[in-house]
Amino acid sequence: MILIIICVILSFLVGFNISKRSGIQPGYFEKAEAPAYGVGGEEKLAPGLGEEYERYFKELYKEE
Amino acid sequence: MYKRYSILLLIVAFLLSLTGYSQAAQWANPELLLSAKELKKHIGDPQWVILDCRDLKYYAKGHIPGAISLGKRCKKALRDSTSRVFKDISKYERLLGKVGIDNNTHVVVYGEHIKTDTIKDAAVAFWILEYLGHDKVHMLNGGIDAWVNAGYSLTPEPTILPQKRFKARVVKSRYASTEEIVEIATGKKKGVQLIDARTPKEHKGADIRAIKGGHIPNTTINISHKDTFDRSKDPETGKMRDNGFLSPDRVAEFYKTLDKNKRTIAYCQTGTRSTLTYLELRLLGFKDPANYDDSWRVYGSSFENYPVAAPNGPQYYNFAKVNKTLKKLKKKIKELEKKIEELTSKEKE
Repeated sequence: MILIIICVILSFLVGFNISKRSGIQPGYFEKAEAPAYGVGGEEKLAPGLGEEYERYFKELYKEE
Repeated sequence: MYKRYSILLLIVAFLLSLTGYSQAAQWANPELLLSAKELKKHIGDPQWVILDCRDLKYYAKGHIPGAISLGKRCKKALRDSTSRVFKDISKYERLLGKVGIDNNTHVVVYGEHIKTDTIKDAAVAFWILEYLGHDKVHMLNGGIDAWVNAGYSLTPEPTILPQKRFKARVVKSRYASTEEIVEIATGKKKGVQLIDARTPKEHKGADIRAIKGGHIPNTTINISHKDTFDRSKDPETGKMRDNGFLSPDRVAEFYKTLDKNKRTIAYCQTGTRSTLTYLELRLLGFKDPANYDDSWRVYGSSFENYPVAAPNGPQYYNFAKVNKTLKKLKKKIKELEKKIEELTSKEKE
């Protein structure tokens, strides 16, 4: 019983540490993987524009 | 003898040219409208910003060199989701500053006539910038089509300008509210000219796009915005059609019965087409022009029982007819689905 409790606490701490360092929430699929699980990728504003410009145009409407 | 005739002919030609010159109408504010040739002179000038008012995907394919985009069509970027102007003016200040516009920047707005029908979007940007108190706004006459027709090239390379600081100095008179329009409609406010920029069918209530059809009582004149464009032969169809260019002769003819010294308000369905009317009023030198931003979509759908005028009395949107058509369409879709199912099952067999 004690062994099980120690295992649970340890796995929680390891998981928490990974999550804290990577910024990924447990159970969250990274964007690149998402379409493979049936979730659509982020829609591009204009294909062929390039990442830098895509980011710029999306940032324009973000409130400070 | 021959010499005498030549001199006489020269005098006649000179007099004729003078007559023609004096008869050609001129814009009262010509600096508001630029030709492609005039715009070319300002390419690369840090005090001038060119704003492409089309959707970003068209901008990405090709635009006037150095032009910026707001990432959306101008009428979407500069209005809220109900097509009304932002109530929070600081939103404009942030957006315009972010794209590199300050109070000293000359802004040239442009759209496209045939392919994307965005000359109106450029007119929306023109009106909103003037409403925000910017006094250096210009419109490219004929839009991007004029640029291409002049033989100038386009680029797919986007432009991002350094951020600047824009401070709005709102000119309230350039905006007409529903309250003001109701006062005019009910005769409480007099001496204001109202222009309906919609089509004659919408004006009469034969084409209903709100709960009620018709027009605002005391409307002075109905001038459909498309009629005011110049006309030329369409190279594809060979038929005459509007070409997106504005010329003083043609535009002045439409507004000749109006008094330039009176407050003059333009409206349409969503307050978009009427921004082109606003631009024309500014070009012609009307002293107090405004755009009714709410326009018919709000006025004609209000439960406040605003008065409506139409040749056959106020018209109402026929929901029963629309429901009947929807039912028919649903039935047809079901029939088609059934046919598809039958065909696919036969194919499997």
